[in-house]
Amino acid sequence: MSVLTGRRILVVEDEFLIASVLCDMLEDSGAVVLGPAATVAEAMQMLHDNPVDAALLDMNLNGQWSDPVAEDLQARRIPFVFTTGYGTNSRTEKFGVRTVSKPYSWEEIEQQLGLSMVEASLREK
Amino acid sequence: MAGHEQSDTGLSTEDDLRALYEFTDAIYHARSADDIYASALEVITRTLHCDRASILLFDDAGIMQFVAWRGLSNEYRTKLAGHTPWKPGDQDPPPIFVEDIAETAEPDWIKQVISGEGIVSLGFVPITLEGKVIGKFMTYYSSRKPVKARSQALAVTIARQLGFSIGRTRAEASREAALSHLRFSEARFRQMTEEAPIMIWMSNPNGHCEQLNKLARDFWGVADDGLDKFDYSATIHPEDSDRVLAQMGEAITQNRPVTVRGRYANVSGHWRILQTEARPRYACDGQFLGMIGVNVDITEQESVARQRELMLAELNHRVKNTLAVVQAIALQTFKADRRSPPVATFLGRLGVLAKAHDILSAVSWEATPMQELAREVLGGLSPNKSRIDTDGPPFLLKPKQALAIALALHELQTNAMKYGALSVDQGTVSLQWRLPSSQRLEILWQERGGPPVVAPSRRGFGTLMLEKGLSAELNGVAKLDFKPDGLLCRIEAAIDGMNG
Repeated sequence: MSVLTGRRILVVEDEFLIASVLCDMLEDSGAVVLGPAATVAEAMQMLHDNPVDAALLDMNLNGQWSDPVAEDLQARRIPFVFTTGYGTNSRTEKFGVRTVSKPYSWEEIEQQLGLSMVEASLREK
Repeated sequence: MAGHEQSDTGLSTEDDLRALYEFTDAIYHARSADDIYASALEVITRTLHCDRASILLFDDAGIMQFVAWRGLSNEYRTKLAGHTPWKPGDQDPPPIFVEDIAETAEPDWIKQVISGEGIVSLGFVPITLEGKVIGKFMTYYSSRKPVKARSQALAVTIARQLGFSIGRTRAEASREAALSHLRFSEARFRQMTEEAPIMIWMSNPNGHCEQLNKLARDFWGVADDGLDKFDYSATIHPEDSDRVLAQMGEAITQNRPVTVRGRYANVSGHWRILQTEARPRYACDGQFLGMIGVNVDITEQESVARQRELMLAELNHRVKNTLAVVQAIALQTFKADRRSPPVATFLGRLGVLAKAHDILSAVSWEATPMQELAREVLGGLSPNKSRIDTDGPPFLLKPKQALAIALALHELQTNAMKYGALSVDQGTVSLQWRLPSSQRLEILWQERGGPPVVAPSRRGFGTLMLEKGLSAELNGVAKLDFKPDGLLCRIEAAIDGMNG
């Protein structure tokens, strides 16, 4: 059983193919997938409408930085992992969250997502 | 009448004194050498009672030349120029008075020229400067003229006055020439700093600006006489001000050169990035006088560099995004066999390609340190990291070399984990590189302690890529040696001076 089993994971990714693979993988691991959301507005709406345990957030959505979503997630104390094609950058430091660089392996995603959820639950205690 | 007494021992007659006085006065007011000559001829003819006279001076070549005359023909002057009883520099010679040219031992042709001009008696009076002969004046008489001692003394007095004033005009002329040279050179230097296409400034020991050239005044809109009230520190961007002033202050207190960059508001209030290079300046006695510096407006270069960085970041992003899409397509295509070895191999190779791109983008596609590349590529499959020993001198790879070597190392590592030294607990790998010459890079991958090696019956893609692909990409040779005690891979690449 994976650390993701039964967890509600929001996927924010504008590249359809990448998003669909990610969703498949998450479902294979027993997670409940929300999304994929391809825009900042869509992601915010989903966050507003649904309970979310963790999120995978693409740093850049069609040329727009996804900072508002990151801020909303932090305000709601929802752990998340940045995915990016830009490599480690200033946003990683700004939000202080784990970042995986594209193209990533499923193992990386599972590991980083799992770790950030564990860290979040430790902080809550 | 005392005034007209013809004394033979002194200059006591009133007329002579008057003439001498007038001469002194005239040369005092003289504005040019010609004025002096004219006054001299006037006093000579008046007091020595001759109707003809001339003044001659040695020219630069040491030849006696007529500079002023009264009543002499062109022919006479042409023929007798250069004729002199003295050489330049002769020490205070006495004057010579010839009562009749016909009675001298002069060559006949000279006698003929002189008598042809209707001259019987002549006087040669040396003109000296600081005791040395620089020329002479001549008196000419149409009839025999015995010259009395009084007249001789008068002639010498006139010659001395004349020599003195010529000396004075010469000194003035040379001072004038020196001044004009100085003015010219001053103007040239002023123009050089004023019109230089770079901002130039000088400060006093407290850092206050003492001098700005035109470009610098124009930048800040400082009037030519407005330097007193100008304070450059007030124009520095608030975010840069503390740093810039601290660096400049340190350079001033330590008398050290400094390079500092900052944003400054120009006369129209726009922020411009100036790079300042300044160094201390000193008086002859070594006393610190302040700083001298130049400012270069590098705003455009900076923005081009920033633009380039942004474009490069965007390009890297797209490359990596494309690789991610390729990965996604593969995962979708092989959905059922997602975790099968071939798909894993493919994804591994793709991952290394992406990693190599990461390193290259971090160094702006310029040069990648070999050590870092090896660490990044081999560190990816972390469980075996500690069993791969890397060793080699610092070396920078070009982008193409870096990509090829990254893929090669990944293949070797994957292979070692499947079949070679890294497939068993006690196996180790040694990765070494060295530079046998400035044109050659040699990389050695050697496995030890693994299961006995059997050469594959068939060359797989990995082997092919190593042997053929690498050779082509690196302009070198790659050889796999399936030695029974461990695989040995030797890669040789041609490099050039551009590799660091």
